[in-house]
Amino acid sequence: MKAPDFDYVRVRSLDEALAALAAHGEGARILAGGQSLVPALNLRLLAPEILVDIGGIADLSGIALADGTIRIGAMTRHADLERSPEIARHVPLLARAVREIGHPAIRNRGTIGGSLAHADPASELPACVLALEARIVARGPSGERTIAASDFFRGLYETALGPDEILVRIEIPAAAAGERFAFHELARRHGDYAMAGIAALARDTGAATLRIAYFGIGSRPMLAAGAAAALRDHGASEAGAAAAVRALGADLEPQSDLQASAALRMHLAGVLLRRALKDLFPDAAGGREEEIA
Amino acid sequence: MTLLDTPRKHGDASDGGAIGARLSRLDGKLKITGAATYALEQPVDGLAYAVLVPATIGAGRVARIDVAAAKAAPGVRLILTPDDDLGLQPATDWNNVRASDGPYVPLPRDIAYNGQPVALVVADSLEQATEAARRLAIAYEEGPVTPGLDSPNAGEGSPLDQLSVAWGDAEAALAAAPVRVEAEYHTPREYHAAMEPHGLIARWEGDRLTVWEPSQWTHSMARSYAEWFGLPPENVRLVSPFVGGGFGSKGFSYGFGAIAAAAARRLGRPVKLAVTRPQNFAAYGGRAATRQSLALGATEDGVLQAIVLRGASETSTVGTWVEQVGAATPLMYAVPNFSARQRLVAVNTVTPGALRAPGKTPSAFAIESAIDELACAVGADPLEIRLRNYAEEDPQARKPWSTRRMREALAEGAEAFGWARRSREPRSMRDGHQLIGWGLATGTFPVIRNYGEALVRILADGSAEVVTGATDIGQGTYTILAQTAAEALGIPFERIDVRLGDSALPGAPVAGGSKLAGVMTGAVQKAAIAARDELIALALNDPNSPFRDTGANTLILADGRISAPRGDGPVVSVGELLGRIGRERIEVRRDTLPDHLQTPEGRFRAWTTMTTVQGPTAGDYSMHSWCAHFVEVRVDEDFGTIRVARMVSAFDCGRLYNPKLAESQWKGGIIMGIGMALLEEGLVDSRNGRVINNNLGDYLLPTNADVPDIRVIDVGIPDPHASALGGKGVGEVGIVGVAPAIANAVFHATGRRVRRLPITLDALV
Repeated sequence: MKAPDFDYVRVRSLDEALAALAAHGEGARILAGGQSLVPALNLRLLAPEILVDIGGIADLSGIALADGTIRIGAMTRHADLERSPEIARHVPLLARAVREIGHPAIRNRGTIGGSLAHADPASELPACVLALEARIVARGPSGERTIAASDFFRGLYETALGPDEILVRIEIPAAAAGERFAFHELARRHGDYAMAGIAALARDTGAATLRIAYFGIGSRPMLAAGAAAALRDHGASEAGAAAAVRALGADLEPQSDLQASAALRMHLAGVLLRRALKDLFPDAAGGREEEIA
Repeated sequence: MTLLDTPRKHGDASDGGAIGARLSRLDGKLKITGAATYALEQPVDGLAYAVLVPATIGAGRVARIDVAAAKAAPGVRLILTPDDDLGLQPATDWNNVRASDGPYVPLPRDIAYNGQPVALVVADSLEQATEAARRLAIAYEEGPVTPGLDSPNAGEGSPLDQLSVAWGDAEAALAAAPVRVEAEYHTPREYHAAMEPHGLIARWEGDRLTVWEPSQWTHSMARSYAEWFGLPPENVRLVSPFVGGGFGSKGFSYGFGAIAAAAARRLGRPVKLAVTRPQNFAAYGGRAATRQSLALGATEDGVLQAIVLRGASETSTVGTWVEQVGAATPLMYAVPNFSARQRLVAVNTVTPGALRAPGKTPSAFAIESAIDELACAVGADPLEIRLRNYAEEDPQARKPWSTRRMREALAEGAEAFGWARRSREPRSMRDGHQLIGWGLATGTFPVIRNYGEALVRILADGSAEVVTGATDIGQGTYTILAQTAAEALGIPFERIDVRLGDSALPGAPVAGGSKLAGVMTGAVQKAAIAARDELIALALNDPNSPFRDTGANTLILADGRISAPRGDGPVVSVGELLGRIGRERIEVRRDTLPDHLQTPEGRFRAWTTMTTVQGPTAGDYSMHSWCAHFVEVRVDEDFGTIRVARMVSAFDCGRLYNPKLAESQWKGGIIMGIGMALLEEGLVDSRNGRVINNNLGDYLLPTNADVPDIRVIDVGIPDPHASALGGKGVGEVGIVGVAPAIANAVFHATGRRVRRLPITLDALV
């Protein structure tokens, strides 16, 4: 199928982009990498009046480290994250996760800002920014505002961004010494959207700073705060793992679809958590699977 | 000429001749570069574009269709609905039966399944037709829906007594057997999902119709169009030089073709109809869902005493398709008592159809799983139990096998796989989180024979042409027919041109039932030898021939040159000889029809119906292809994810005309079997009978990354009874037995016996 008719404008600056959004309101859609938007147009799931292409705004791309914070421009491509030495060093979780996004052709076009703004519940990056305690910076008519990742994802394809706002960059605290991460995802077929996935981060060697985020489970990426609390209380022991898995029942709202039932997703979430804990705390688990799994 | 007149071949390049050489596909480069023109790419002037509108209810009727808004849309030329009388007549079916009860109505008011066509919209562009189709206001009266075979309201269906098979007293022997295994096996609806979707371009010139449509059987499909429109057969030409996968779905004309051709006739303008990917899940049928209750009775050593099969498959409420679940069951093992019966259950679906190895595939899933269960029950190795029950002759027909290299397939497959290192107990092999399982299953496909016709031309430049209406659906017809002609004519392979895929060309059967290669190599060889003999006769007798006075009584053709057998005369190229004797070409048309079919009616019937087909036991022998699949799976213990890690499969398909292409066919079948085992399932909305996952994002087929290293081994020998050149069927046997081999491997890995396909995570966690 082909997309319904729409107008198209390629803007050169953020101000131009904001002006276009102001003029068209909810009839406008921002075109970043186009890897979700263009298929949705071609399937006629969306019929915007106008596409505002922000690919020509030079200062929306790039990765920079300053004051212990990594700043990633919204138009930075997945492939750039994948190849970036700064990301590999300072946000290794992201470097690991981007490899699982679609296929190379998709990673060459898709952008981090587009992925977060689109908020597909099965996408990798939204869960990663939750685990990373990232700050998402949006620009609107009244200037910039910063949104905590944990406040950003509201529901199925729904975010805190207003129709007159553009996501401009993501700020992530650079990895501290001793920081550990875990990332796993599952699909029945290679390359498909995950039917369940986990991104977890501990800022130090203990469980006190642990953040656990899931994707592909419910209608939005979710932090498993109860599971993290259980591990803080019990430590990264078998008792802690068991308590954390039990806590997932209250943390998550798994959904059923063609790929998996809600019950299967809950089971997978528990296994993913145990696998992640094994990656994060190999010492606590004695390096042996039996102790934690 | 039979196989006995030709030198023995081993089926590889060591044979020297063109047949058996590992040549690449003649059409490969055209396809890779995009130069091959598929049906919907044919450049036709003045096209109008049609969009098919499917029903959105599962059963009931179209109350009314308000076309006003659609008609007013820009560019709209024609809208056909159930209100239109298309004036069509029924077409003859493959049994040569033509319905006589009234007209053919491809746009009926009554709705038997979700997705059934209810309208066709034709406009100047595809976009205009698409938009106008959205503007149709269709009111339905909904009726009760029976969505699938296992639906509570589907019932038990009706018995198919003609498929009942019995010998001995199976029920009594089962009851008396010291060891019994009994279980129910299920296979879901599966779809062809060919890369090239269906569709056509129909163009009328007066009372003559040309149809460009992907086809496995040009002559029969052309006949359908001719009969629908009341035309003499020669007035319809169906053209299909390249096909992007058929797998059984492209052997017949369907209602959408009739509707589009009727629209083209009304408009006086050629019409293109592209059946969309979602519509490809309802415009024609896939493999029917099946269930089988299968019981094996055996001695304590696992020697079979009885097999009892009670099966069922689904069909539609408007047509009959039997997915024969007992197709392989009686053939695989020696058993003194046997009973198989099948029922047919009508549900609200498009009538299912032939999908690669119909019947044999679900049949093998049950019997090859059950024999593995028996092996476990008696503590025997799965390979050993197959040898203990080896069928030395066809247990059902009581005829000797023509060739059955199953022992060799099992032995060579096991050797290459390393089967001897398998530990017997389930869950006994692991690598970290991964449970490793090794499984085995066998498969079969019958040798089906029929007749064909080919024209061979030797041209003035020394090249040659092979011409027939047979089709190449990717299996390699172009290539092997060129090889056959090259060898018979003594003209290099590179100088043979092949024309295929056109109902105006000489007759051929369907590219289905794994028989086309055997049939058409025979026809081409016959025509090519006749052409060669004619050339030699001219060379010996023509006053201007350099061989006229050599005293030779025959001549040799090799490498495009003609010479005397003793090598003491002239050596002349074929082109030069034709020039000397003043001939532009030698042209010979031959068929392999027996005398009783050498009538216009007989020929037409042979090329357009299945009534001249001879089954595997029609003669003195029982003839089949055979295979054995060895599989390693790795199952994540906690997630239940299954990866096929490696496969070794050994095949007996008789002589291979081109091992490279045969191996490719086998691997394609195996990959399809991996999909069947782990991924493929048409999911139906129980409220309205709609196939929910009617796209390639949700109907899962294996990607390259899901396909492991596959090693295929040829253990066949030429089978002189199976075909003129000694080959048996290659195209379908590869899928048969893959799903049970994987299921058996999953059992070995996990201790869980999964009897319902596909095997998903939730069955294992």
